[in-house]
Amino acid sequence: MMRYRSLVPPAVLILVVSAGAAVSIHTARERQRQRQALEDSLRLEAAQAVPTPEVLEQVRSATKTFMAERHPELNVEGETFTPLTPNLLLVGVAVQDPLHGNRYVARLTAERLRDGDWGEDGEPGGEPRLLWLVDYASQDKLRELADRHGFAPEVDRVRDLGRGRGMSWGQRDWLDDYLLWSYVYQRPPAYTAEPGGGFTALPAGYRFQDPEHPITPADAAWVQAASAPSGGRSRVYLGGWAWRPPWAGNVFARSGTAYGAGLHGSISGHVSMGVSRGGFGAAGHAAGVGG
Amino acid sequence: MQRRRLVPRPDWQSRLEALGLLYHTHDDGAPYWREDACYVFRMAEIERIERAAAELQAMCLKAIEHVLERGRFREYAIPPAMVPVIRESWERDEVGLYGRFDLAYDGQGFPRLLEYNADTPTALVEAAVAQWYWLEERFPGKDQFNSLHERLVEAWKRARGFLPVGTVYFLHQDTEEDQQTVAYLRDTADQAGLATAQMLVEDLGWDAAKGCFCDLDGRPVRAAFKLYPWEFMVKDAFREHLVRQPRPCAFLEPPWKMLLSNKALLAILWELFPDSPYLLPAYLDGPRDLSAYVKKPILGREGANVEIHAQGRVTAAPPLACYGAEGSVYQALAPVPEFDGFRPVLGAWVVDGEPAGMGIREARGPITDNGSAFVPHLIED
Repeated sequence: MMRYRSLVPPAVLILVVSAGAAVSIHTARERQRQRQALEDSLRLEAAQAVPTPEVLEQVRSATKTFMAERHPELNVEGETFTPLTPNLLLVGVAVQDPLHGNRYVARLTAERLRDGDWGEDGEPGGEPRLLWLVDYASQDKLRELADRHGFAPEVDRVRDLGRGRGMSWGQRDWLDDYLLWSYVYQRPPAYTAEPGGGFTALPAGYRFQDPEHPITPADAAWVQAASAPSGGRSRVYLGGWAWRPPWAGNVFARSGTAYGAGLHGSISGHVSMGVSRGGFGAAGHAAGVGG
Repeated sequence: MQRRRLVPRPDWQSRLEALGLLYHTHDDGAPYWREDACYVFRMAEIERIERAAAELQAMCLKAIEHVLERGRFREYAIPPAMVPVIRESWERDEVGLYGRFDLAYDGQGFPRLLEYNADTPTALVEAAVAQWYWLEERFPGKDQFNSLHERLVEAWKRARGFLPVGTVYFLHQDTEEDQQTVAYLRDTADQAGLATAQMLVEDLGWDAAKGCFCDLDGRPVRAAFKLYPWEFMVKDAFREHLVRQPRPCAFLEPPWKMLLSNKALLAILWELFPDSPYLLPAYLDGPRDLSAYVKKPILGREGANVEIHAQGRVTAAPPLACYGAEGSVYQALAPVPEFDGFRPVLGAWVVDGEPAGMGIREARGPITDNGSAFVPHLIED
């Protein structure tokens, strides 16, 4: 039988533990507050910021590479970039088809992904590799992207409100739902790449697939109510994550080509993303008897 | 050295299968494991083979230093991007687990090197395990040149100091023999206290987000033994990941083994050690003055595309045609002795650079290929 030991901790120890816990809670709250403040500032900055020339140059380089690889038969005559979010742009590529003797605007998307850890506990501040995934802008693809970047519900609302309304731009297609959303929610303007280098902002409402017929305030009047509750800002900046590049590991249904984003607007050619398999074992047969 | 005829154990197949040697019979029904005979050696002969393996290993290491100093990688058809990786692994003194010298020997004179299987040698289960148990059952008082198992366990213990912390993955292709060879090697690593796992080499993933190889559950693979040749790896789609810095995975055998598992080594060795009794004249630029020679692809295996030239014509050539694009080595024809109409080639094993045992494969024809048979041996003095 123990005579000098007790299973009940001494009172002084309880006090010390309590004080330690209080300090710990205080520290956690402060960290949480700082994290929230940082996130708010990043979000606000992202909501208002226009694409930097460096980002535009990266997307332009990736687009040129994509077109040269996929469509060497076409002559590229110009590009426009419509930022839906800081990490997602619609890309219009004006091309001339020598074989068929016509011109048209090819539709692409450029999505910026982070290919690595963002930082401890998901906090910003890490240095993940960034890459651009360039792909064709099909209706399904845009829906997937809108879902991933958090603004699909807003596009749905714009689409529903605008359905059946006559628009100044004439022929309307599914892509216009996204351009109208961009217009209503005051996203940054589209940019066009200048032949000699650099980029020029285009007027609000610019429709790259039909430049002669931009969206006008009258076209958007019917749907302005959609953005009223958020003061004209997309909800993805109020509570969403669209300002933060998605993690490449979560991008499963991918069909485009990924390019590493480098310094000064450069890209680093093809990069792989996600988990790929079968990279070994294809070249030869087994070691076999006595190999 | 003699070939002695024996009566096989009546249930030899099931006994071998119990040891993991599932591939004891070729697809055509001919036995791969033959115990209707064995080779018998005197201790002095074994010591000569052991000494040959030790001296050849020492010469090989000097040949590596020579190639690295002189930058003779083109003769090896090694992609330039791999050169820094090879240099780094050599300078880090990464453990080379095992290798097998194939020797021509008749019990007289010196064993002569035919080639060195330094990267993905097989015939290991039969040499390390099956023939040992055969000896214990058939000739319990006799000895055998065989410390493979103990040395492999010790080599893994030493390798542990070089390998990243965590599980060592054992990668192989989808054949019974490779699977069993790797399972055995994995067992020796287990006994050395390493955490291990086994998977098909084609299931190895690359996680671009994390910048690492991964298993089927997405766990990082930072150390792997691969029964898959370097010369294939540097051609495969994942080759770009082999040259990353820092290296995402420590592979065994290490990259410097590329300088030994290539038959260009034979010519380099002859150039450096023309007086060695263990070597045959060998050249990369043609047969020169050799009247009888063997033309071997520098990256060939299992006797594939090996041609024997004698009396001004090709006297033997197997039908396979999958090697040879990287160039060939021309090696003087070695007199492989005949015993009962069979030509044995001695496989002298080295583990972590030390002689560790022997396995013998014999063929009816002049080329030892993957249709040859394994025959156990014993020492009788």
